[in-house]
Amino acid sequence: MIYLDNAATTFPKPLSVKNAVNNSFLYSANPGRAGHSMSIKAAQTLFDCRNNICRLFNFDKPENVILTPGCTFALNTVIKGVLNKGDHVVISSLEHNSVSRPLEMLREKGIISYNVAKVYEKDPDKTIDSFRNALRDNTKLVVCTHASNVFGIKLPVSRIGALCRYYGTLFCVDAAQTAGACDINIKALGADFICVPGHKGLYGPMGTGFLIINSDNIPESIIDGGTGSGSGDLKQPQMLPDKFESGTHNLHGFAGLTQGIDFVMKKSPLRIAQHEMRLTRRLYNELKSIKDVVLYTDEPENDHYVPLLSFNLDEVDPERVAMYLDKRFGIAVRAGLHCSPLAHRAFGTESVGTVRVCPSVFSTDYEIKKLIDAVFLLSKNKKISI
Amino acid sequence: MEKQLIMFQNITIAVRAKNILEHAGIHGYVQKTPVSGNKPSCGYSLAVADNADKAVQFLREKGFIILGTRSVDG
Repeated sequence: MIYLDNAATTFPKPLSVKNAVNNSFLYSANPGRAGHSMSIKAAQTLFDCRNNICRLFNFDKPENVILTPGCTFALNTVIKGVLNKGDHVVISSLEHNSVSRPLEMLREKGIISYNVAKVYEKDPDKTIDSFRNALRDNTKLVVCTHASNVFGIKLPVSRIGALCRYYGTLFCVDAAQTAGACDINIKALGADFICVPGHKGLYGPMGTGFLIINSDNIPESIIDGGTGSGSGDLKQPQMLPDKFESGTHNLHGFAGLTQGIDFVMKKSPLRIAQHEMRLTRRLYNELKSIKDVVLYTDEPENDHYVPLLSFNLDEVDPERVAMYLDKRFGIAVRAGLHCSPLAHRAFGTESVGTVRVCPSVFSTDYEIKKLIDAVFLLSKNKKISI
Repeated sequence: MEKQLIMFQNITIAVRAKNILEHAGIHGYVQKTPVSGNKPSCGYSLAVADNADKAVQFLREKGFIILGTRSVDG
């Protein structure tokens, strides 16, 4: 299998991640509940994960790292924990449903309203103007993706953060496509909240993610229950991270994520991005020369894009392209809307979707060449049987 | 042998304290905070044999919230 669906989940995982998951079954007691040595060791494992997250994001409060089942959960924690009746929110035109759906649900219930700020490719000034114009007196929160999961376009998040600080608005960044592929310094970013999946660019197992709270504005909890702390009190503890971590942790997943982050830090996000962007640029330029291939952005580079791209083959359903690549060549890509209808609406592709390609640190020139050759063959014979 | 318990709100803080103190050359281990009076604490403590006062001062300087200290046999 040539796996180029890494924007959804990275595959394969480093051996160190698999070993850490496997080894965690040797001490898989419930962390933060009992006092026996196996439970303490499990708690140390979770702490090591928080600590590695702090090192990666240049953050110094491990207790403000909330371990979650994923980025969607982290985003919901912020959105539902921060907003109250009458609040207004600004999002970008490239948002994933993990942002737009919880907001739309709150809007339908008459709790909040929100505006969509248009993102301009490679034009941060216009994008910032767009966000500024979308703000209202009652805007409490700006939530935006760091980079589009469909078109790879980066948003000027540091400048959006500065805008939010100026207007006294909370700022939440969805780093689903950038964690591990960009150097992220949460303090320089100026974000109050950053939401991250563990299973994408950090090479951890699925079912892991986290929220970093870099703010004195602590959201309300959206899940309450047993934390192993303050158990005599029927009220949810307010201390971090316990307030947001009711129920048993995914110890095995976070043991793996700790090693995934180690792997990324040893390679460095910058070097990973350079490797992946070189492959993405090669793919872009070769696809550009194939008749009937439609590309949607300028040639990507690391300043304005993350290493992924979308394309279509004129008059061919992108799902058919993906199926052809899978069945005939063993190439895994993802077709469709990628859970981001707003982004497709912005690019006029909402009726069909696109084929998305995303390499990882393990991807090779050979694999990209195989993909290019396969698309070329299909372009020559669009009726080819699958 | 008597040891000092430095008590924290939760295990995350206790493990963080343990790690920071280890870098400062003060060693201890995390354990559950024993029952005090007739009320289970459900909290965690760092047990240190020596340098407890120094450890508490060091942690307070680092911004740790310490619920209290206790001497226990162990």
